[in-house]
Amino acid sequence: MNCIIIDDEAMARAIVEQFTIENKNLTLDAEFSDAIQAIKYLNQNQTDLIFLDIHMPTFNGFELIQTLKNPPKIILTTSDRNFAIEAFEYDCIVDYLVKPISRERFDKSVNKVLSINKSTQPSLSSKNEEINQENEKFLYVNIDRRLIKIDIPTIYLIEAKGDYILIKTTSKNYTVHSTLKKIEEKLPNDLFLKIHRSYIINTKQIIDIEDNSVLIEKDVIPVSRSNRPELMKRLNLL
Amino acid sequence: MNEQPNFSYINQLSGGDLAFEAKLINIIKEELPKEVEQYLWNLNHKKYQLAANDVHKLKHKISIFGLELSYKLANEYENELKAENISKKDEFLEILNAMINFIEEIK
Repeated sequence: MNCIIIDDEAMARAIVEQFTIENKNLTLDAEFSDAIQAIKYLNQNQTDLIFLDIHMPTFNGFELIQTLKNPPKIILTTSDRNFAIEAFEYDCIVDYLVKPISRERFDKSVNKVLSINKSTQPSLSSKNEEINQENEKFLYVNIDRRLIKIDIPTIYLIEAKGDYILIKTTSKNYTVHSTLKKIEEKLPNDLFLKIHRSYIINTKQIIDIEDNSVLIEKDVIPVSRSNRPELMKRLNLL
Repeated sequence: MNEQPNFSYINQLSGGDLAFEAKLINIIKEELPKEVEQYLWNLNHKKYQLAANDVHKLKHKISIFGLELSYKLANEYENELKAENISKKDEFLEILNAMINFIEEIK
């Protein structure tokens, strides 16, 4: 879990920092002595967990929570036991650590967050995986110093042309300075297949196959003898 | 109050990690005098609510020095300050002096 520490007291930050370093489930991304700086950070970055002091100048811990649209899990760290009831009015507050914090109590608190995350929502790393999966649907190509987004499933053919490749999509063609090998690495294996040393095709867009060629959109593409068995394997033959 | 500041919590926390121990001690040496100064300024200017906040923060240092009875007194004093009652200010000052003297003796 990624975490941050917000506490105006350096001593308190140093102790929690040491505990986060020692806990293999935590990665400390940042620490803040000032709530405003922390809010700015949280508006631009995601985190799984905040160790948050209640008593701070300008903004106290509860006010900070109220500024967050989707607060992550929060463990309060405080010298004051009197806020415990208020603390549990916030769904995001998982635990309440009274200073001075012991290592055992700290680890217990982190385990509590871990078990809640397991049973309820995906962690930041899972969210990153989702983002990566989403990114895999697109490919960015560099044309005239511009990065152009191409929707991968719309690509039906890629043809090698010397130092360039011609990417044909159902709506537009793109000539890009690259190689078939490089683009092949970026494409999903279950969708694309190299059927000839100069051609990669989207197997889902094949219209028909005749002897040693395939018809895809309006292009007839040769299939090399060595690639034909793999192509036939991919087809849902009757 | 017959309590003496000690490093038992810090020793327990560091688990023999001397670098971490030194780091904590350096932070205390730097942070404590500033916190005490701020508290005294607010107290002397009759800004009791702010002084109560300062006492609140100092409570952590008091507990780190293993001063259990002093912590209890600081807690009471913090609440009294919120009600603008400063009857425990001299006792609290003794605690602060004991801590300041303790850190000044550390080389």
